[in-house]
Amino acid sequence: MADKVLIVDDSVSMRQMETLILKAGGYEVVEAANGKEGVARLTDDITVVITDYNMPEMNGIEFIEAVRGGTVNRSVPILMVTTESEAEKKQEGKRAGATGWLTKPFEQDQLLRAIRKVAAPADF
Amino acid sequence: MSASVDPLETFREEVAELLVSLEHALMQLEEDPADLGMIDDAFRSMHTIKGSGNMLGLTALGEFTHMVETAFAIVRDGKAVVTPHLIELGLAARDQIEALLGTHEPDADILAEGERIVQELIREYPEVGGAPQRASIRETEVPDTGGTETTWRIQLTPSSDAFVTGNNPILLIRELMELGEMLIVGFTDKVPLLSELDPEQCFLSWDILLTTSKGENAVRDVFIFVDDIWDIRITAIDESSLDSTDLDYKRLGEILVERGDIGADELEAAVNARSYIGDALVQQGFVSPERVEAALKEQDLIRKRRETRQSLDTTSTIKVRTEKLDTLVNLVGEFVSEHATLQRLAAAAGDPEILSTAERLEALIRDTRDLAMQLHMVPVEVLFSGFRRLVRDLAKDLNKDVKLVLEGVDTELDKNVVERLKDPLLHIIRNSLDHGLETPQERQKAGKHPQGTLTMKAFYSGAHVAIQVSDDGRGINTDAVREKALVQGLIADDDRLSESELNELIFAPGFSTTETATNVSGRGVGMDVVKRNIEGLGGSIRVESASGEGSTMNLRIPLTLAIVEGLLVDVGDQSYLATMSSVIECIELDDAARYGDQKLVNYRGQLVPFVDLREYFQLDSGPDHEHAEHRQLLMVSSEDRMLGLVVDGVRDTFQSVVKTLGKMYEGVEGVSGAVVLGDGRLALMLDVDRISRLTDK
Repeated sequence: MADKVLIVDDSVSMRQMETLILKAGGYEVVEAANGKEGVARLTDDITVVITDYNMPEMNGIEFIEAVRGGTVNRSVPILMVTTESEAEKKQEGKRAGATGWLTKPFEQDQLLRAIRKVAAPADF
Repeated sequence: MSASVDPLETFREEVAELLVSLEHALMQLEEDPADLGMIDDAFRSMHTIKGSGNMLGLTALGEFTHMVETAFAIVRDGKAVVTPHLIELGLAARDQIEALLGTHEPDADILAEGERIVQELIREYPEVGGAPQRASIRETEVPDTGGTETTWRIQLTPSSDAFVTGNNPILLIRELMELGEMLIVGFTDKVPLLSELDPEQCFLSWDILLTTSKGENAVRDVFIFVDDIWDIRITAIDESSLDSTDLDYKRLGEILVERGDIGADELEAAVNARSYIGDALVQQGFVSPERVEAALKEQDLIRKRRETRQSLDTTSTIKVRTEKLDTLVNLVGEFVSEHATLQRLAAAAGDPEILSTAERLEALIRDTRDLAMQLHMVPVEVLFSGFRRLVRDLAKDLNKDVKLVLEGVDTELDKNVVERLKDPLLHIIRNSLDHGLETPQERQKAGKHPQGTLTMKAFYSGAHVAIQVSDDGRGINTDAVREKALVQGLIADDDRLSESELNELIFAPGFSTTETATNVSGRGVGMDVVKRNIEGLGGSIRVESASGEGSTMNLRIPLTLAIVEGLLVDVGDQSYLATMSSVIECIELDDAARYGDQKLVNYRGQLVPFVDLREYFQLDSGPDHEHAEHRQLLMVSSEDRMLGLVVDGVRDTFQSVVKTLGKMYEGVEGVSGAVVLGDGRLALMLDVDRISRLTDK
């Protein structure tokens, strides 16, 4: 079964681009337009979450905190996507419990590599 | 929302919506400049347009929007207030974004308007100008510290909730592994009994010894998401730039104290116990055996690294004048001949003591000679690179455009041989440039790249060093050669010569094809002189040529003095050496699907011929014939082709001076020299080219 990625981003075009890349990389995709939707769509079969930082309703940090403090799939790897001007937000994301981040703009390979890195099976 | 699958189209629709909400926010702000929600809305609209625009490669749009976004960020962060001017500029920016999105390449008017808005924003909020962004994609590069390798001791203790935050330690360790060579010891001493184990918690810790040339930051970056939650201690314990005269690293006890595994008191107590320090510490319960093992590994690693470094240091630091080396080689030569006399006299005297002394002396002299010869080797690079300037100047004189490609420059040759090769090679190069390679115009007419290529390549070939000089010029005109040879009486009218025989005529004494002598190749010295010089070195020269495609001069220079590195293989009870430059890899014979009796194997999807060396050398199958399944297939390359050699076993790599074979082996095909192994036995050098040619038939 293909790994499932949850994309949390308020930009439709951004979600669409990420979806295209991920599907080409063999992933299934679930989309959410903000943190609140993201929490609602997070299920136990999600392998990785990618979240934007800046979103209405519930931003990326609040979203990560909600996942880590919740009960559903709370240890799922979460990649935070930030623009360069938000670089200092990485620390904030890290404290909230993000697993890694990706700086926008990125190329297809960079996204797939970042996902593979955190989604690799934890075989010992 | 759109069903379009074209992100650019989706983006246009999205921007249209965002611009509506931006306009709405700006209008609201005009009425209530302190409405934080609206400021945030305006900012986010810009932010999304910037982010997605950059992703789509719309950099002009991304850069412009970034400037405007920065202004709104300043206001949002409370560093400035909303002014009517900002709202006016925001509205202008809104139109500008629409304009930028509506055109593929913005014209001068649009660009000027963008510049005006940005300049006014900068005047109002100077910080905007200080925040130019890079909209282009970049990879974060890990700086290499330029050869200095540091060994880091990384003591990694993940927080107990490591698994819960999705930070799998194994993934970080794998990332670390990409930085360099790694040695790792895991500790399980904190893992509780299964009945008390909480599977969501992490109880493991690791000691990692990482040797890398990437700097400390690269190492720390791996842990950037966990460094304030996990216990991570990173210590540099060895550096390649350190003076390595001191081979000894710290003592075991010191390492354990330094790591914080034991205290100084405990160390003292263990020292007094008068047994091995590690055992004593474990016995007294001061430290777990795992931790002692980790410290021992560290000690061992550093000692090995320092040893390697020291041997490198000494081999690279001695300079000797070449005259001294020449003298040494000569003296050794005299030794050898004097010794022959001694041995004859000893044999005549029949005194066993004198005889055995003479034998021991022979071994010593042999070693000394080998060593002296090794000292006399230089890489052909010395020879080849001297031709760069010549090729450049000649090409210029002849109005030709020629690229010189050098290959195998590490191949070593005796220094004296190198000197005697200079003139012949010079002549060959001149010929290539003058007669072989065409002018750019001629080349273009022939459908070739205007720049010609001259390649000089050196490689070990059995007991020889092969040097190839090839050009991609017009090749030898065999018709002209035949005519000339007829005129000069070198061949008779009814001689039927093959293409290659015709080519070889250029080496005939006095032969020269060009009607007019140029000032480059001149008249007089012909290829016959080149051939004589090469043969004077005990070598040979052959020419290959294809009309319109170019010519190659193949020189074979005997390797009597050259050192080869090869792979030792066993066939029957004889050892053979295959030169490293010819070996591709060794595989189990079983792995290769054979094609019946055809002596072909399927090697990585390619059909490659193979030769069973037992059959080839007509050797007894030997005692281990029953274990035929253990036979190996040595894949080698020969003259740009692949060939498999079936051997009984592969032993080791071996480096040695090659000796030419005596008269005894004159009739043996497929071997071209011998090396003396450590135990005094001979290993024969495989002449891969020769064996390969056999498979043609």
